[in-house]
Amino acid sequence: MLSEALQYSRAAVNAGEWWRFATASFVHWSFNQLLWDGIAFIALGYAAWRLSRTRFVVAFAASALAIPICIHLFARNVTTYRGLSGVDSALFVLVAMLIGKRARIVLLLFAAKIGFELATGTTLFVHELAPGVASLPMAHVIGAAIGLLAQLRLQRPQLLGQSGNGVLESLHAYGEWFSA
Amino acid sequence: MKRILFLLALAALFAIRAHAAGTLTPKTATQQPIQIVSHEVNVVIDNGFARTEVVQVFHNPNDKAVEAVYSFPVPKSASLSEITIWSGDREMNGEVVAADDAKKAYTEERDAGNDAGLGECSCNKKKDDVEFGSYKFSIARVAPSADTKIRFVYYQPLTIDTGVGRYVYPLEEGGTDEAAKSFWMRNATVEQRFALNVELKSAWPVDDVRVTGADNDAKITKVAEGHYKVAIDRQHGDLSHDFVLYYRLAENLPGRAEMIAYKPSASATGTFMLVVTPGIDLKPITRGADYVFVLDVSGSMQGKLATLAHGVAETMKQMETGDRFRIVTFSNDANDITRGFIDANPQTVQEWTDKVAALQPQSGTNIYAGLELAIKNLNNDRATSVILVTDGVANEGIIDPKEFRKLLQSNDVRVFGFVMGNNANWPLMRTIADSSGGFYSAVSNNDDIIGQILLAKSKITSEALHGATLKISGVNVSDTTGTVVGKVYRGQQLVIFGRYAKGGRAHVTLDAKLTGADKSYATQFDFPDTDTANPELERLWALAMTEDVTAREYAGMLPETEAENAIRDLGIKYQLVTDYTSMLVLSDGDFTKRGIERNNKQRIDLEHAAQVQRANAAPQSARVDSAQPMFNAPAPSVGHGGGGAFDPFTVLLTLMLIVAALAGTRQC
Repeated sequence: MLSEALQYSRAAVNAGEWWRFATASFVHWSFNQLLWDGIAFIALGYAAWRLSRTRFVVAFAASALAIPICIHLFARNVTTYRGLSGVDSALFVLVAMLIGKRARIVLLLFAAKIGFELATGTTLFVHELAPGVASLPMAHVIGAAIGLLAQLRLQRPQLLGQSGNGVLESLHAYGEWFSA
Repeated sequence: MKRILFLLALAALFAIRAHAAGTLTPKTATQQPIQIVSHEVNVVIDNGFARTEVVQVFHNPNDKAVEAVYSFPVPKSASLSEITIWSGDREMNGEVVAADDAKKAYTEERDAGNDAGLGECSCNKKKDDVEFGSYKFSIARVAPSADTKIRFVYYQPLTIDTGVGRYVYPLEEGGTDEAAKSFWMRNATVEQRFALNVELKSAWPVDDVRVTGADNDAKITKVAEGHYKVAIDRQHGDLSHDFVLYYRLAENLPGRAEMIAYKPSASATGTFMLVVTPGIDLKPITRGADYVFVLDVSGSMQGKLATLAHGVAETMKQMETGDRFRIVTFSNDANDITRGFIDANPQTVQEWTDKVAALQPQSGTNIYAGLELAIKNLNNDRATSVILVTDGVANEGIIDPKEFRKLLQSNDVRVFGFVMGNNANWPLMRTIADSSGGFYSAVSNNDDIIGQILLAKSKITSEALHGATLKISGVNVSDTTGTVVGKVYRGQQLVIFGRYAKGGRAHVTLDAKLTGADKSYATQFDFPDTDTANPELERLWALAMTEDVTAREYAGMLPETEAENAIRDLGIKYQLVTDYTSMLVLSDGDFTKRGIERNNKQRIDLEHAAQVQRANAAPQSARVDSAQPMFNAPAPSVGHGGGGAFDPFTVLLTLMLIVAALAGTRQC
């Protein structure tokens, strides 16, 4: 099956099938998973594209690649991975950051969900995508971090009204944004 | 205060150390305990069964000769087949005879000051002088300030569950036999070298091998595809922790039938082990279900309650919206601590997880009372699973297995047993599981608890085959075990042992019902006319027969005396240590003097020759249905698959975000 050929598979990657890092996010375990991930991706992708094409491309490409790579490196008990929700998480955070204050409550709710998943090691509403296949909170956390970095790292200094250099200043701005 | 804490810590340490394999010295004895100088374990896992060889050196620190006694838990479905003792330059080997005869001969030799040894088992029957669920090895005479070496070998079939193989070298005693605990002082310390070597040979690709609890200590080497070596080598050690090895086969392997056979000649009776790994699409059950946790909080669970609490907490976290749970604890009697069912949600799960973690051990083990209370007031409209967690030794209230069978067959409920420790009453657990159409599995303190729970969960929450039977026609088979399967759960392998007279083409069919519809899975393949590669199969078949006989006795289908005679006959003919047969270890001359035939020596010679042949060969595929596959779908694997999943809540947040974005666009 095509899904099996494109999913992340630890054994296949170990055997040299590196392309699976790039394709894993685009195959799914079930129609249900594809439906919800797909709806979110279309909506968030459209919004991100309209708001900042560069950041969309960076967040999209970086999260699609980084999530399977991080799973390979740090989640050694996971043997296979499929799904777009990590990419969705990256786009969610990116769009929320781009919108600004109006998205604060939504972003806080999203952060709370991610925090719960991180603390408990399980996703809030979806536990099993197929027999023996669990939802991975780690994918959402990595995605959210990439979305945040895509916005902060590509933030033009003049937008912040500062001449500073990079992430530290951006994080400072991020703190101000949150406390506003 | 510090002093009290120190004493408590010491007591806890002693409690853990007391429950371990080791040498035994009567508490009333004045002598110093026999020391374990070294302990080396060599395991080969190949062709669906494991061969475990233990070589141990004892030292007598006393200034007079003393008897050495060593005890260790009986591994599940193990057939103890060899004992060799070296005393100085003298080598002595074991022959299995009736337990009473062996004991008498050993006592005579020991009292006469001669070298002798004895291997006994309290496998399923309580004995006065052998701890329940343990092997006991006695060496009549260890010379003063001298070493004596003992070597023993046992075989056991290993199944793959949802693509995961699990091998346990049990060392942690269950601590369930109060009489033995009060009589013996145990020494579990290995003074010098402790080594454990495992060679794993699989004809199917192996994705991962791990040793739980010793991940940093174990050196794992991949020799070739499907061929691994695992080594642990320590200076000093103790025998209080189980060694648990997991190996995970590659995903998407085919559903399959595999068979190995032993038939020394065309005219001899053949023995076979058929392993069927169903590849059937058993779909997840999505409707809400009820779970009743029946938890053993008896005194013997001391030291295991933390593992129990951890396991229950992880299980409860796996519950879905719509599920309900109830918790019953039992010791001398049972208590419904939740007072009925509780809806599973993060708050209730956390609240009751904390309460389970605070449970304290109390006196006896009344499993019947726990189960009886668990199946009261169930909702007939909801599927109910009873999850029984116990160390498996009923010693209070009703303990007759027939009563358990009656109780469970009169209620529509499935019992899934998780047995902690190594001294469980396995036939009772099998009776409980079989009577309700559930299953049981062992859990070690050193286990991958979460992994075990995920395996169990995938069974409980997926469809199962019902009324499954396996038929073999075309070849005249007899004395089969495991053909009346009942339920087949997701990931479960079926292991069938049997005998056959003549090779030829066999038709093998697995018939069952799946969601009310008849299903049939068939294949055909040849039984060989001669095959000498695996002579150990005869012992494995004989042990499976003894387990079958015990199960029928427990179910009230076979009188106790008939069961005893059948097990004794099998034990002597196929040289197995059972409740009614023991292994007597003497010199060649003493066997001749006593007129004891060397049946075991002949078997061992055959087995060793076959093992030498196999040692040099690459892993061999035993698949027999390649030409006509029995199943179309792949075998389920544990998959530890992961996925990214956006749920309706997150999609709602997304929509809110988009609305916010659109509002911003309009403002601009």
